[in-house]
Amino acid sequence: MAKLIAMDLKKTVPVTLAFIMGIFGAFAYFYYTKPTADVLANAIVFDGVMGSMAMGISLINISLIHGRNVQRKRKGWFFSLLLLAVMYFGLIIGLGAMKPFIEETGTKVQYYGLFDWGTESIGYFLVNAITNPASTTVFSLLAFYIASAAYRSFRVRGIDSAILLISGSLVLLGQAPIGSVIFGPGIGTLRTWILSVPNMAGSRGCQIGIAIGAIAMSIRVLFGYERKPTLGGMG
Amino acid sequence: MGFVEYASDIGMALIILCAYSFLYKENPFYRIMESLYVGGGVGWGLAYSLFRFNQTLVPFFKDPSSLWWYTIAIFLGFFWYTYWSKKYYFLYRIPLSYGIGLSIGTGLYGSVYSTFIAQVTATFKGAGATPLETFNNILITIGAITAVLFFYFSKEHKGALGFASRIGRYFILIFLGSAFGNTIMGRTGLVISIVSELLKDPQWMMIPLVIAIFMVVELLKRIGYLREFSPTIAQAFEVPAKGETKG
Amino acid sequence: MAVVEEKKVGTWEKLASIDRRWIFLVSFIMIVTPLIYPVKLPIGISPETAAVYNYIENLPKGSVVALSMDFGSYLSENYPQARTVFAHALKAGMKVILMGMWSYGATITSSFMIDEIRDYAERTGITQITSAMATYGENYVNLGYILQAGTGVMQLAEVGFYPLLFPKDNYGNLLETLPFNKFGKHITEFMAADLDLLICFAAGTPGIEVYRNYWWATGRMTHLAIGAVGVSVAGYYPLMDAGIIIGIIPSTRGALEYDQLAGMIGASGQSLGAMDAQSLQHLFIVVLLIIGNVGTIAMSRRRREA
Repeated sequence: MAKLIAMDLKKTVPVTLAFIMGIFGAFAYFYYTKPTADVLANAIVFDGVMGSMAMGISLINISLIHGRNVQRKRKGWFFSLLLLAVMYFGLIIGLGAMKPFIEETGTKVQYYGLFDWGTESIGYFLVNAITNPASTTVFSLLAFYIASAAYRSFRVRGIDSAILLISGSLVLLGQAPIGSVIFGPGIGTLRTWILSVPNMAGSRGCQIGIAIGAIAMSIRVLFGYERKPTLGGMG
Repeated sequence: MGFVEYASDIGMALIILCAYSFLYKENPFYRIMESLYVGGGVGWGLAYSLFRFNQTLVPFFKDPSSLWWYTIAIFLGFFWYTYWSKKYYFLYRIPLSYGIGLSIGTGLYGSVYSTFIAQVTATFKGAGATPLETFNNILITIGAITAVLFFYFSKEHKGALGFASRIGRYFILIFLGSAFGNTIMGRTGLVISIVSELLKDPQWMMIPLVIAIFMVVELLKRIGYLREFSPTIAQAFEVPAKGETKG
Repeated sequence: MAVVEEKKVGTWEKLASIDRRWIFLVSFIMIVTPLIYPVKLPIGISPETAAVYNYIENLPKGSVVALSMDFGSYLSENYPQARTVFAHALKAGMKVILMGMWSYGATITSSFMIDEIRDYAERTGITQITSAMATYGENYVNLGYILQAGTGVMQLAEVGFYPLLFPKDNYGNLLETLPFNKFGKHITEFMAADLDLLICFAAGTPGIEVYRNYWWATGRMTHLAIGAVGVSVAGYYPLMDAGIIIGIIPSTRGALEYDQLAGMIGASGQSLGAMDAQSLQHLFIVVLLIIGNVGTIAMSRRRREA
């Protein structure tokens, strides 16, 4: 019996806590009073400190997944090993000093980590040579795939795809200077009109629909009808 | 230019070219770039978060008595890490449910007002100053209403509802077409930034070097080398092992 | 013995089966060529970019403009936007707060931006910017990374900047030691309502929706604008129409438009050749769309006739 109660409490307490915090947060915003606003402010700071403690989860999760790959020598284990090595290296270097090359003028204008280890050069290399260009380049690959898809896949099969194609082409030509050179300044005006009127109407409809869904989902989570978010996927 | 900046520029060029090598075909250099990027990003990002967290604790270190509840928050914050414990897994739900409940509650007002009420109010504008503005306002009203009706699935889309949802679908398709056009602009902008960096000195010197290495490797492959590898290397680098490739 | 008829492969069939890597290569050439040999086609100014520029121009000198650097690398679309707005705000006599909900953008990238704008101002002789940047902490301050995006932004509105969220700035300086103030009110007393404008340079989530939900909707601070990436631009027009944001700076094009408006070509770090590259690439994609569809129609007609 005690075991059953304990098992139930393990699910009930988090759901109840979410309900209390949610109702309190909503009440404090919908009906503003000074005392509730003060308590809310402290609750927000409390959440800020408590939530920040979760920053190590990504490190542990990646270490477990890629550590297993290396341990079991799965296909591509070298890349997992490299990832882990760079991750821990980046963490240690980042905790040292990464100083941008700004002259000190009395007030400190040099970024420093928790420990001043003088590792600024390695940090500079890690950020400028690896993480910054890699992130942008990976996103930019899509530009080439869009060009390829435009040629091989984008087919006008009916009125729907025709509308998509025509509006996309007009916006494309309207926002590039060459559009104005070929078709005159009217194409820019047409592009602005498409974005401000029909595009805006369609986007608004989507956003209202999404908002209604999000509000309904939020209320379901608050009242415990959806338990997965508050029980960490084991509801 | 100092040594560090020079090395960073060369490293940047090599990383960019490794990433773009994926456009030719997936290869170990792209995978190496991927591992460096994810590892460096997570490690460095975590270091920043730790540094920032240390800073937010400064008021607590200054005056622990007035911010005593920070200790409770930090104690509860350790419960996040019970996620991996089979016995104490349930403790992980406490900070999670607190955070989710508070975010939903406080965000509810914002999302109701800004994404719903404000949008619905702005949909009905009435007559404008000019005939074109009036026409635009009518179009916006019709478009927004029919686009919302497109998402109404409690009734079959037949008759008047079917006609309205079809009009709404056309407005949504215009939105998607515009998004397509803007996406191309955005991604092309990224390529332009990358290529602009690549064309600077000394980065541009890596382009002919990498092309030369690539041509040498392809030549070696054609004459029978670098096609197959030992089982250890094949397993480590996910490349074809001896006997796997035909011809 | 059966006679095997050789199937004639038409031009359209050959074009349809072309290796996509040739398309990648031509795309790349379309982008690289104008960067090496720019034509510098004139670009028009869009009303949404002009709205942001005009708003800053009409603010009284000494007003506080906050730039939320919610993106990662200095190679992204948002960086040129942030650069040019930062330069313009300082030139127009505004006080600027840099912060952000993305760790890289708020810390490293913002520090680089400060460096680069200082270099740009010295190179081009814009004395308003050079004098504004003479002492750190006087006319601009880099507060850094907001650790927990949603709760942090809420804190700025409900509790204030200091001492809980930003006891120190990005570089470790105690906020009370910095001279930054708005008409005598020191930054340690700032709430979100003390900002005259916040421009969110958002590459994704968290982004403007956080400020919209916790500042605009609650009435704490209602002057928002956005520097958007291309992917998201189309979805922000309803926000502008509803009065939630005052304007949109769309992608790198918006940054170049802003350069022109502010009369500071090069402040964004982009050249006009960048728009020539955009032009060629856009034209190339439209041509590909047309060829692809014409080819499909021609091939299906041939199949029907056969």
